[in-house]
Amino acid sequence: MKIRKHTLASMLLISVLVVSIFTLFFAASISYKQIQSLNDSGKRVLQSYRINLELEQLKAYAKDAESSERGFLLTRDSTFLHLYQEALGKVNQSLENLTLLTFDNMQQIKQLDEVKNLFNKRLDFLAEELRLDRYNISVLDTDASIISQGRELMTLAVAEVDTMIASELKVLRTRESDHDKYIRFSPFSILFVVLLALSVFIIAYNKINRDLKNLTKTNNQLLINKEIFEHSEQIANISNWCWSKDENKLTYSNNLYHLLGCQPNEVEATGNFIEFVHPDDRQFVFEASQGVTDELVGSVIFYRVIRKDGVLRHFKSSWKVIIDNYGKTFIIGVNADITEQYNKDKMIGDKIADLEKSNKELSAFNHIASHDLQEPLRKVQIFISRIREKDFESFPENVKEYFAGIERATTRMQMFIEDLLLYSRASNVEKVFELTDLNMILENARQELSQRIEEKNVMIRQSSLLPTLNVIPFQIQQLFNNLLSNSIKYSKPDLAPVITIIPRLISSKGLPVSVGNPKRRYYKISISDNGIGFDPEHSDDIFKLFYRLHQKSDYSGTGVGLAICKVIVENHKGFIQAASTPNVGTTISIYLPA
Amino acid sequence: MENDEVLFILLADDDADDRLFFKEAMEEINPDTLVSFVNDGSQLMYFLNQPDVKLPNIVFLDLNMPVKNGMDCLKEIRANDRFKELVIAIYSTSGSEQDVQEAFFYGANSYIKKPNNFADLKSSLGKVINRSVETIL
Repeated sequence: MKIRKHTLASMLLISVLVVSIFTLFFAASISYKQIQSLNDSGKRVLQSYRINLELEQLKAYAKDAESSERGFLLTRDSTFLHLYQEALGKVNQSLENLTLLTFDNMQQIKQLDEVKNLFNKRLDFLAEELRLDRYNISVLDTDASIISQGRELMTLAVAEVDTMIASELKVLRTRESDHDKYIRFSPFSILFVVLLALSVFIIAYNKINRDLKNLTKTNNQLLINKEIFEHSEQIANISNWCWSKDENKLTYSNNLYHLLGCQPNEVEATGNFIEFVHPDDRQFVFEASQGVTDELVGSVIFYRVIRKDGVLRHFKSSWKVIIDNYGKTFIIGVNADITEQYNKDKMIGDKIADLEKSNKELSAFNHIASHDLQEPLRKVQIFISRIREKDFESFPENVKEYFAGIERATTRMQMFIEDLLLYSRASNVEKVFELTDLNMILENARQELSQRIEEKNVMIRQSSLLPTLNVIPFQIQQLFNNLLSNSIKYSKPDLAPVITIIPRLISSKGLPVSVGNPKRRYYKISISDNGIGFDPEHSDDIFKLFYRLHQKSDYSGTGVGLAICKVIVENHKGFIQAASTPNVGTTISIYLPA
Repeated sequence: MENDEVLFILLADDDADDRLFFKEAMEEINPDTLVSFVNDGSQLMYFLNQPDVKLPNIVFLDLNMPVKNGMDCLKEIRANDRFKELVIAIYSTSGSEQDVQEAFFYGANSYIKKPNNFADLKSSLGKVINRSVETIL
C-alpha cells in the first residue's frame, strides 16, 4: 500500500523558484549589458576628445617646428635648432599617438595617413632648407619657391588636420548623444531589476510564511491528534508499532508498554516483545513475525501474553505493509489486548454450548418420552382389547364402567403421546425447503379431512389463489390440516362451518412484530371461521404447548395442535397470530416470507 | 412347500408380552401354524446357522433387541445365499420413515408396526402370512 502523495505544494514552490531565478538572471543580464554599453560609450567619447586634443597639439607642434626653424634660419642661434629638433620629435610622437587612437575609424586612418604624408613632405622641405643653410645658401634668397611650396604644404596639412578635427567632433556629437541615452536609460533598467527582485522576494516570503503557518497549524493538529490517539489507545486497550524495514528500526506506542505492564521505554523495542509472549505461543508468533514482510496484505494473529506482573492476557495483532512517499517500506501493526472480549466470547460460547446441550437433551427427552412411553401403552391397549373381546361381557356392571374409564384414559394418553411426538418432529425436522404451490398443499389437506368436511357440511372459501413459496411442503400441509380441523372442531353445533381463506402480499410494516429488514415482503394468509370463538385475552396463550381453553369432555384435544403450528411457522421464519370474538368466530393469520 | 407341511414361523423378539400376543394372534389366525421364538438377534442367528436345521418359512424380526439388533440380523441373513428363500417381516414398535426405508433397502419383505389393539394385530399378521404363502407356493 502506498501513502497518498502530498508533494503538490512543494512542486509549485520549486517551479516558482526556478521561474524567478530565470527572470532575475534575465533582468540582471540586460542590466549588465546596459552598463557595459554605458561604459563603452563613455570610453568612445573620451577617445574622441583625446583625438581632437592630439590633433590640436599636432597642429601646435608642427607650427612650433616651423617657427623654430625660421628662428634658426634668421638668427643662427642653435637654441632654435634644438627647439626645432624637440618639436620634430613631438610631431612624430603626436602622429604615433593618433595612429593608436584612430585604429577604429577607417576614414580617420585614411586622413591621418594623408596628414602624415603632408607633414613628412613639409618636414622634408624644412630639412632641405636646413641642409641648404648648412652650405650657407640662404634659403630665403635662393629659392623662394621652396619656402612657398613648404608653406602651401603646411596650410594643406593644417587644413587636413582641421577636417579631421571637424570629423572627430561629429563623431563626438554622436557618441555623446549615445552616451546620454545610455546614461538616461540605465537607472530605469536597474530600478526595474531591483523592483522585480524585490517582488519575487516578497511573493516568495509570503508563500513561505503561509506554508510555515499551515505547517505550524498542521503540526499543532498532529499534536492534538497524537494526544487523542494515545488516549483512545488507552481506553480501547490497543497499541501500535511501526517497523522501518530499511533502517531495521522498531518503535512502539506508549500504550504497548502499558499493556505489557511496563513503564514507557522500559524495555528495548527491538526483539524483546517476544519475551512477553506465552511460551506455548512463542514459536507461532515468531513464525508469523518472520512472514510479516512477505505478504503485502495484512494479517491477523491471536496469542497469549504474560504481563510483567505475571497476569495472562489475550492479544490480537494485525499488521500491514505500507510504502511511504520516499519509497521506503514500513510495517505498521496494532496489538490489542482483547482479554475482556475473549472472556466474554468464551462465556457466550460456553452458554451457547450449554444451551445446545440442554436443547438436545430436551429433544432427546421428548423423543424418548413419546417413543418409549408408547411401548407400555400399546401393551396396555392390547391387553384392554383382549379383555374387551373375551371377558368384558362377564364383568359385573360397575367393573364394566371402571373398565370403560381405563379405556378412555389410555386412548387419551395415546393421543397425548402421539401429539407430543408430532410436536417433537415439527421442531427437529430436517429443514428442506422447496418451491411449492400452496394451492396444491391446501388441496391435500382438504383431501385428508374430506370425511369430516362432508360430515359437518363444511364450506371452504378462498378470496384468491394462494402463492407459490419456498417452504417445507409436508409441514405446511400439517399447518393447514391443523388450522382447518381446529375450525371444524370448534364450530357451532347448529351452524354449518364456513372457513374463509384470504391470502395477501404485504410489506413488513403489516407484520405483528417489527423485523430487521423493512424491505422484506410477506404473504399474510388469514383463515377465518364462524365458530364458537374465544376470549381474545387468550390469543397468545393458545399457541402454548398443552394449553387448552375447553373442558376435555366438551372438545377432545391435547393443546398441541396450535403449538405445532407455531413451530412450523417459526421454522419458515414467519409469524402466527390469532384474533377472535366469542360466538362470532376466530381468525388465525400466518405470515410467511415471500 | 408341500400342502401337507405346516407353516413354520419364527419370531425374534426380546419382549415376552409381544411374544405372547403374537402366539395368541397366530393361534386365532391359523392354529396349525408352527410358531417358535428366539429372544434376541444372536439367538436368531445361532438358530439359523445350525447345520441341517429346518429353516422357518417366515421370520418376524423385531428391530430393537439387545446383543444384536434386527437390522444387523437382516443384513446378515440377506448376505447368506442359504437364506435366500426366507421371507423376512419386520415387526417393530418404530414406525419411523427412516426405519421402514432402511428395512426394505436391506431386503425385508414386509414391515409391520406393532399395532395398539389385538384385532389390528391379527389382521396385519394375517395379511403378511397370506402374501407370503402365495409367494412360497
